[in-house]
Amino acid sequence: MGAVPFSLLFTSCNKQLDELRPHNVIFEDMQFASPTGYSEAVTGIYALVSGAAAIDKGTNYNDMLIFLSEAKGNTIKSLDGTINKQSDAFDFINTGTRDFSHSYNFWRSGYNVILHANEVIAHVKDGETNGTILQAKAEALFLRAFTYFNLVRLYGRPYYLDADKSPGVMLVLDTRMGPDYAPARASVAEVYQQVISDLETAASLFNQSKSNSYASKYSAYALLSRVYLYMGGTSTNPVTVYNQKAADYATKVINEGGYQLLQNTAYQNYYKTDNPGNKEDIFAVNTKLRQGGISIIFANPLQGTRPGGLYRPSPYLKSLLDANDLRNSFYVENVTAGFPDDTKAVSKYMLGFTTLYSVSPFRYLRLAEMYLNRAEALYKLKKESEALADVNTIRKRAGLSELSGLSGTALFNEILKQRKLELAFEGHASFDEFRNGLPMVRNYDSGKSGAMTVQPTDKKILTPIPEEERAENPNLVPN
Amino acid sequence: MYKINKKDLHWRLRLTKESIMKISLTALICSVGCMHISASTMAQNVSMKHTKISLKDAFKEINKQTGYHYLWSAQKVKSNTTVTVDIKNQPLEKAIQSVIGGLQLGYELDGNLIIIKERHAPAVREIQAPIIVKNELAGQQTIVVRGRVVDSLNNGLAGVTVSVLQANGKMLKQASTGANGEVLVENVAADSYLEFSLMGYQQKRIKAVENIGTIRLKVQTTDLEELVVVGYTKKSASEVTGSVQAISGNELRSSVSSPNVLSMLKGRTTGLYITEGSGEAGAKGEVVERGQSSLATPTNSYFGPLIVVDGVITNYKSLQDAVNPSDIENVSILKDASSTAIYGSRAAQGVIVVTTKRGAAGQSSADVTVQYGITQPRRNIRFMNSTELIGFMDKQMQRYWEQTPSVQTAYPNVADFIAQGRTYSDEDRDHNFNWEDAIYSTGNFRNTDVSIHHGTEKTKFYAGVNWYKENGILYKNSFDRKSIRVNIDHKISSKLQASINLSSMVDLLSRRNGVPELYMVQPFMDPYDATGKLRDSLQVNASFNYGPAYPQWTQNFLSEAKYDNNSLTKVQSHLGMVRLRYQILPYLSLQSSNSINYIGNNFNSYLDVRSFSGKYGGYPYLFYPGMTLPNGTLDINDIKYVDYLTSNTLNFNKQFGKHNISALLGQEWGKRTTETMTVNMYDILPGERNMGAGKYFGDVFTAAFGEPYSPRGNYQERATFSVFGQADYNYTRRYLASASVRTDATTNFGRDKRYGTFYAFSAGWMMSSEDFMKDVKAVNNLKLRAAYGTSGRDLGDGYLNTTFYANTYDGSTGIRYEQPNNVGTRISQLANPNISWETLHNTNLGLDASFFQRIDLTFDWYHKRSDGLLQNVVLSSAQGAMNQYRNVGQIVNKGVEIMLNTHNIKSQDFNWHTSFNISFNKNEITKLYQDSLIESSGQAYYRKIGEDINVIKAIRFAGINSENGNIQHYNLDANGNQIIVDGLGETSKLANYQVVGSLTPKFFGGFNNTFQYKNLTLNASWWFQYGNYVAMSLIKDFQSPTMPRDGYNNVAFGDNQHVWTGPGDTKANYPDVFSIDPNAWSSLTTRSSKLWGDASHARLRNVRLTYSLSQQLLQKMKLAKADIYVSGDNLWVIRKKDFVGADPEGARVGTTQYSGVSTGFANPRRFLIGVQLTF
Repeated sequence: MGAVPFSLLFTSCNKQLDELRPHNVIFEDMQFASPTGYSEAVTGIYALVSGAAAIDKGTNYNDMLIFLSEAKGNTIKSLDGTINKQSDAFDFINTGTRDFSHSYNFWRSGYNVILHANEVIAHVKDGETNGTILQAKAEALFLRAFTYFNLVRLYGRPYYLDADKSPGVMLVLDTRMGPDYAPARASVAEVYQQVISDLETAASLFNQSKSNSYASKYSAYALLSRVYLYMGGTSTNPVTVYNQKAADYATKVINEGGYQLLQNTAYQNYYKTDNPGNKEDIFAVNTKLRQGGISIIFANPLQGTRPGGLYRPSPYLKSLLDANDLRNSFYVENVTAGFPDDTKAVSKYMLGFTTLYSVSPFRYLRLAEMYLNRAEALYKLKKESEALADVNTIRKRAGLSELSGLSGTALFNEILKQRKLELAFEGHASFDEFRNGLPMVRNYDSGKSGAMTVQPTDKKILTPIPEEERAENPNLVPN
Repeated sequence: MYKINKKDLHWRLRLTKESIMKISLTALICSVGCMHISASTMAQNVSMKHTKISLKDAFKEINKQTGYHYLWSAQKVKSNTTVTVDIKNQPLEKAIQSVIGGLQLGYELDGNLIIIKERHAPAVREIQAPIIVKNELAGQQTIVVRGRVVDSLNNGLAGVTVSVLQANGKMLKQASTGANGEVLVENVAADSYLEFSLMGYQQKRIKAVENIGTIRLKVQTTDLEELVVVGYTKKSASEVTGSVQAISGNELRSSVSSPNVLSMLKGRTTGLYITEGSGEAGAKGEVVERGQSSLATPTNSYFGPLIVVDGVITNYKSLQDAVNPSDIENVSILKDASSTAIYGSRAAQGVIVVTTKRGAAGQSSADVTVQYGITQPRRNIRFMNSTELIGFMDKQMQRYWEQTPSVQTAYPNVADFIAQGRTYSDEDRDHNFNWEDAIYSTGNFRNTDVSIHHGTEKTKFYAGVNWYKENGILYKNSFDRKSIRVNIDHKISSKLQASINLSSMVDLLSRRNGVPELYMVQPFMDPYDATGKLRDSLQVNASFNYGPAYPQWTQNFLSEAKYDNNSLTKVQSHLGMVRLRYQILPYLSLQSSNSINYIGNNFNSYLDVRSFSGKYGGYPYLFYPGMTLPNGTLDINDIKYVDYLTSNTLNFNKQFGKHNISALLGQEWGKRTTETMTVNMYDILPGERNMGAGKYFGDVFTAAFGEPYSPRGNYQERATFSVFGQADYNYTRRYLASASVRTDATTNFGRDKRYGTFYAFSAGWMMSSEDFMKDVKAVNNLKLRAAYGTSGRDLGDGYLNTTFYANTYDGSTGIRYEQPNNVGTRISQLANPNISWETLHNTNLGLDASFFQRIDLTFDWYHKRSDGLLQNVVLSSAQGAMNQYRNVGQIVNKGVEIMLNTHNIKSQDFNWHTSFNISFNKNEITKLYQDSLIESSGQAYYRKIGEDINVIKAIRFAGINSENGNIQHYNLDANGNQIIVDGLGETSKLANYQVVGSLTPKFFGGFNNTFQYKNLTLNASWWFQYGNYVAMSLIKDFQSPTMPRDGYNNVAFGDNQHVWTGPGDTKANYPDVFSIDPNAWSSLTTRSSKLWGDASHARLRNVRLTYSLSQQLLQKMKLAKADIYVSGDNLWVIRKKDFVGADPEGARVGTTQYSGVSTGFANPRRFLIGVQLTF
């Protein structure tokens, strides 16, 4: 048989094959053929962040983010006596295997979010002028920075501990790196630098007004304030330049952002409302369309078959709460059978909480934090009276008396105390101590572990790099 | 199909290569599609004039002039005998008569084939003097019988033995027919019978009458050499150079009873590893041929062979969907490249060729088969009763109290702790409901087949209808099949033939919704209340962390019997094929096969609003008072597959002296479209289960949480275009060679990489035909075979080198954010620009031998190498943490297969046949493009080069710590030394995982014995497999310390499980089940080698006793054949002593489901009685 008839036959049939196409999909070039396509691609990233991350349908990325950033602190007490993904972090077991650790899903979901952000960023041409496309790029940059920041503070050591040399996380900034691409971990400093660079670029590109479920110029500034605060060194050995930046960005948000601290009843009902339209929220991960499960970790369902509500406000946190503090409203009576001493549960995630799921937003950046960031930065800049003024703003709003004459360590402790009270269960727990060179102290027993003091230099404060990832990428050094 | 008897020495045929090719062509037909050829017939008349022409050359000449081929079956007269012929424009039959008239030869025409054969008797022969048995005829009326015996073409048959028999079968005398088949027998008792017999023809018996008219004898078609379908051609078995096994439909049907041919194939052939993990009615089973040579992907987890039905390449993934067992003529298993390469990109996993029944010329008969049977559950485990379960929970709480000082402080007295924390009540002690009997009970099935065969020279047809109905063992589980098949062959002219196949199968599988698994119900949960009425829901108490019990509810499926709370799966499969063959020249024909295959899968699951389940949509706990309830739910899922396939081939075959050459050139276009649709509805009109009956779209979660919902659907189209060629050569059928090549273009890999070319070479040597073997009397047949070739893997997914975004997400809320109408997009497929074909390189060496007329042996050795193994790889985070199809490595499967058939006892009244087969396979990863492949179930360990693709690794069990009841395992310490630790030790240290074994057996096979005594036949079939492991997950899941407290039941410990009882118990082989110590029962996970069970077993799959009615009775009843039989399936299982599970059936290969049967049920026991009648 000759090659000629073969090729003739193929020519005609190639045409028929070419007429077939995949359905219900959008070719990449079509996705980015219009400004709307860029917006849709970015909306998809928010959806991933709010829960739909592609790795494991049973695990919600946002829930993991909330839990992991709270787990190693002393705001919560565990009633859980078993070994599972939650206790793996809470009890500093750090197995790093996917059966018993959230690390695998969290790490991978994070990089999946980054892939999607990178795709959007890569498709924006140099010199692009279309407002919608630039807005999409800004949001993608923000979401990438947001994801890297969360990764580096969970997997990397506190910034003050030799950030230039200590390993952070992989910096993946391009798409389609080929099957052999296996980068090592960039240093903590490099990751922070990337986060800052992304946020600063993003801030200059935002040009549309959206709800606070979306990134905006001020959410970029707010996150920059937090990032610089994390870089600002310990109270005894502060880094002026970063603290100044932290204070400056906070000031920008406070003065120019148009946000307001909610007062009195509005404040007490803060967590019973959704974030859009709320004047205090700067950026929240909205979960209205997600089946968020974080509330069953923090409170026992009214009925149902699942165990839940095992992570309660700690005796330490409760001891800080003054009886007059309006923030008592954020804790409700919620009994888990067999635990008569731990009947309080946090209600910050019980919006729309039915039997299994909640639709509460993760209020990632809000105005109160800006005051507290600025207070701490100013304290480290030796501007104690201005720092005290900011703390008093928060105290006053919480229904507490204003303090005067506080200075030095007492002032610093008050700032940290207000952070703990104000931002409990919002993902700051252990970071506030460790980045300041302070130990995390649990003066109470939990389900599986007793009282403990964990130093910021202790490696077990770090989330383990997933075993499976290390097997795939031998360049990843373990924690 | 024409078959030649190979067993009878008198009829040892000397088939010319040419004639064989012609036979293969009789089934082939000519194309209409793209070529237009005017239909003109060849001359039917013959002219020739020769003196001293050899018989062979004379028939060659006839062949040239008429297109009729010839088959030589005479022994005594050599084909080089010379004759003198002088004919002019004579019709064919006259011409043949002129050639063979002077010799002791006869002939028969079959299609365009002339079969030349010996005459059994002298050409002219006087009727022999009757042998009169005096006494018996005395006083009786006698008659003179006259008539004529002919073949299907009315040629008189000479030498037919005419036996005069009494009604009891006793022979009175014998005579023979004359030259033209005339019969004349005198002195025949009026009430006697006449039996006509001639070698090669079916016997016929009639009542003796004076004028018997014309008696037509049919060609004997059983026990003859099979023609085997190989690719686009048929070959006689002796010509096959590859590894092909054919099993007749009759053999398949004489074993286990099932609507699934796959089940019947188990143990009958080598190389097919078949698992039947579910005994539910309508379950389909799984098959892997010669080891797993590909990896499962989300869209293509089918590892079984390509299924070809009557020459049509199908997309069926189960033999159950492809064909009804009663319609099967035979099934061929193609295993090596020479047989499969011609199927190109789809044949890497082997090919199963199903040939359905067809009519034969001169045949007119009807068959009726009726079967009725019962099925019984057969499970080697049992769940705890109330006393056991309550005792277990008490003891567990006691141990918890002992282990937890804080509890001892709170409850100084353990009894108080148990009283406070227990989940059962005192009343529960008096309730013990046998859920096993409620959920599994005796089932039954009935099967009715009716079929008709009919054929004239021009038109032949087969028609069959079947109805199978099974009421399964599982509560209200049923399977109903109705099928019809019509196969027609019609000769339009001597040059143009048509074959038409039509088949329809309609299956209805019903499964009750809400029937719990046994572990989900506790024995003291009583479905009846105090007054004996069925409760609408069942309450069970669960406790959390030993706090006070809280109630949960589940529906009581028993109370919902009056509502149709079931899920129905309707499968409709229709296959129609028209094949035309046009004989252009005697040695050249054109054939076109065109088929349409429709497979519709409709799934309809319903919960009635009037039932408790329906009210809450099956999830009562989701709804608190005041919430809007689902009030009945309906889920409809519809998948439609439409396949169109056209294959057009040009076939050539010709003999040049001793060289026989045949070749084939073909082109094929196949397209498949798949359309899916899923709609969920709630608030349903009672008793209605159609799309118009729902008030709201959505599922139970939509109802409970008010989430956005939209119905889902998809449409896929894919196509393959192929060109192929094949050439076969043989030299006097002693040396055989074959080669083929095929190029496929598919939509799988995108435009640039869509082509895959596959080829094969093979050769055979018929050693027994060599002169030096002639004197070796012990060897009847000896053939050596060798084949090498390639085939490809059809992935199922398309356009893999392209990145796609999608705005849908496989979840109810989709990819929306903040506002329901704010829909985003996400990457649904990440491009892999380098992806290419997975290619299988297949080498096969084989030997066929038979000895002493009693022993048949087939031996095969194979080596299969899969290059460019395709896997849906979990990408590392650096690459986006998605899944992507990649070529990841190479696997080799190698093995040995032996099939041994022996006729152990051969006598008139008693015969004993044995068939034994065994298949060894070794799987090995030989290359990996990355360092290792992660095991996909627990992702606990990695598979490396040199290991089995299904290797199981776990931390090695070391024993039980006799002091504290903990389980112990071997670990490696920092220096690599082996140490024993309590619990699992370091689970994240990969070096601690050691090879346990593989999911697939080292060998498996079948052992069948048939004993025949007069009219009785006893058949027994065994299956055995050795060396495969399954996860005995019931130990971890349903023998757990805490599951009973969560409201579940536990499996009672078996005699082979000695659970640690207390300090000093050195005999324990299981740890302390009551301890909450993480190093005790909690360490019994799949990471522990203790949890992996050796599932080697042997199973007596079937015993059948058949009684065949005697000829006399048949004659009385006007029947050709009548069998009655009783049969039992799955009668005995021999398994490993320490195996824990309901059944040792192996786990499904290639998936992440490693548990095998566990607590479910597989392989019920069946007993049936059947009757088979042929009219």
